[in-house]
Amino acid sequence: MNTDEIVRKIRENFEGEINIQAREVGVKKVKNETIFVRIKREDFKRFVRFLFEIEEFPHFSIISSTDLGEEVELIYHFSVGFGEFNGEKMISLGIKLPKSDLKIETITDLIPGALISEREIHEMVGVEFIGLKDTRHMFLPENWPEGKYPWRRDETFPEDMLNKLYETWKEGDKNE
Amino acid sequence: MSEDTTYTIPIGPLHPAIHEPITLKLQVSGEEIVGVDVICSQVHRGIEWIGMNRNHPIQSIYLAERVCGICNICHPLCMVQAVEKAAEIEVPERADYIRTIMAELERIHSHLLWAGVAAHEIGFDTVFHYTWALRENVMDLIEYLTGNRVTKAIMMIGGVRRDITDEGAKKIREGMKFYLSNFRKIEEIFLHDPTIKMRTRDVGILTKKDALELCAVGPVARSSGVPKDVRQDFPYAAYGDYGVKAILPDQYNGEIHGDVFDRIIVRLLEVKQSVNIINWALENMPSGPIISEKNLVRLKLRLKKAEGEGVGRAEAPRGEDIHYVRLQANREPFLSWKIRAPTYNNVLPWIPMLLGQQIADVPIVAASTDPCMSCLNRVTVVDTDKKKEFQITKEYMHDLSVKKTRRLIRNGR
Repeated sequence: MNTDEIVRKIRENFEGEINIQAREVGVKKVKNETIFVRIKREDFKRFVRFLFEIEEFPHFSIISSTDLGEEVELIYHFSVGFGEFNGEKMISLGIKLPKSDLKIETITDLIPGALISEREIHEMVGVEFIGLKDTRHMFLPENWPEGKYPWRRDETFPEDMLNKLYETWKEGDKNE
Repeated sequence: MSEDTTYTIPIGPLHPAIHEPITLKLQVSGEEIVGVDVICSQVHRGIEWIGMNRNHPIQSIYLAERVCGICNICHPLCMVQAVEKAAEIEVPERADYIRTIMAELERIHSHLLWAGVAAHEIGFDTVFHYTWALRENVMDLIEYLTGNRVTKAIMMIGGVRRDITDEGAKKIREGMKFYLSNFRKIEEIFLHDPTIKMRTRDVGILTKKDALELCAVGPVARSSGVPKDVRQDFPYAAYGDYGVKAILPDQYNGEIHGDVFDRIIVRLLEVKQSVNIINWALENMPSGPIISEKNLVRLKLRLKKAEGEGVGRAEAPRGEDIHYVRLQANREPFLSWKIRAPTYNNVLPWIPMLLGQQIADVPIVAASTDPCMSCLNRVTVVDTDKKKEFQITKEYMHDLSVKKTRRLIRNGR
């Protein structure tokens, strides 16, 4: 499916903002294309299901998050159409969540490979994934204080934990 | 032992069989693995955070290089591609070709490194030393071309920093000839040795369905029969001109098992493919500038004014690498930066690979995904809980420092 068809299908089914970012590379100027889609939170799960109409197993890369002040924007980076030369299109799906209600449905029931990424966003940004069973820390240690999120730019950022590298030493080290 | 008796065996965080810190909690019943849990985070260094809060995008190129000691072409390559898209900066054609050559040299060295490690895991240390001796050749080549063996510092936003001269091209051709002439021997050792085949055939199987559902990438996905290769699917740099075809194990012997042996096949064939791509790129390299904006101050100002977002993708030796970058006008560090190294997606497939295997197979199965932990984890955190043993105070440090000074004075007399 080419980019125009995908965009047409998205427009037919969803309300939102669509931007196409294309880059021409090399001497032959082959174009690779990323489709940025920004939709409402209510349509999120429906959109992920819609990706399964385009491809049997849509590839999920990562969730990125941006702190925009009053809200957090999550961007889910998917791609469809692998397997043929220049056939793959990136679909980056942006969802804005207000900080007062940082909740979104999990996609691990549809794409199990999204587990690590959801756990990471859960601990780094504090987004609650509705339906995510495994909410243990992935990258932060188990005794990480609750309510502190390193990727946020507000009062929940653990400011007092910065610049402590000198403490990475062993107390009671007998071989001093 | 009754059948429902299971034990948990922790492997790692530091374990001789796994070269980088990661913890595996294995539920075993007798010798058989019945449950797997993977625990990461031992070497998370907060690189994305530094890029988002402290560094300028140009500084972040060198930071991106330090994400991984092996993939230090593809991480900066992804990052600069993302920034170029976000700030709409052009890249000269010649730079695209140089980037391609560098990325392929990296793939050769990484795959040979992996082949050596894999041989070591199953106890073939002679093969390990032999493969790594072969690898030295490409390391020397990289050093000659970039000035560094490890962190190559060749990527720049809008191009590359060093050109490939005629002398350099000659050396690359010689190097590629060396690998082609030695390929037969590597193939003989790895693919025709009965012991290697016994240890790796039908071990650590990842089915095609699992690979697709768990979004596996790179050689791990390809050896399960999934033709995913960013160079083919989503061409960047000069790969659009070459037309890469994803390598599946059935191209070698007509069958796909999705096991460790298939992963060896895919990686070895990819070394040959890389050699071909490099030779082709040298033949077809266009002339012209290698960077679109030479003046760093001007580039810096342009980046400061830029507003936008971009996704950079590259096929690292271990699979798809992706960076997302968002720039905001009048803000020097990235507003947002997300790195997704290939191992990130290749950790979950460990679970189906290890289930039903024996404990003795853990090292080779884990190594077969070519895991790269420092790519996966990026923060160091200090425990400030005073009761814990692994914590020291400033006073203690100071005390240590004083003692050392006294010792030095005493010995000096």
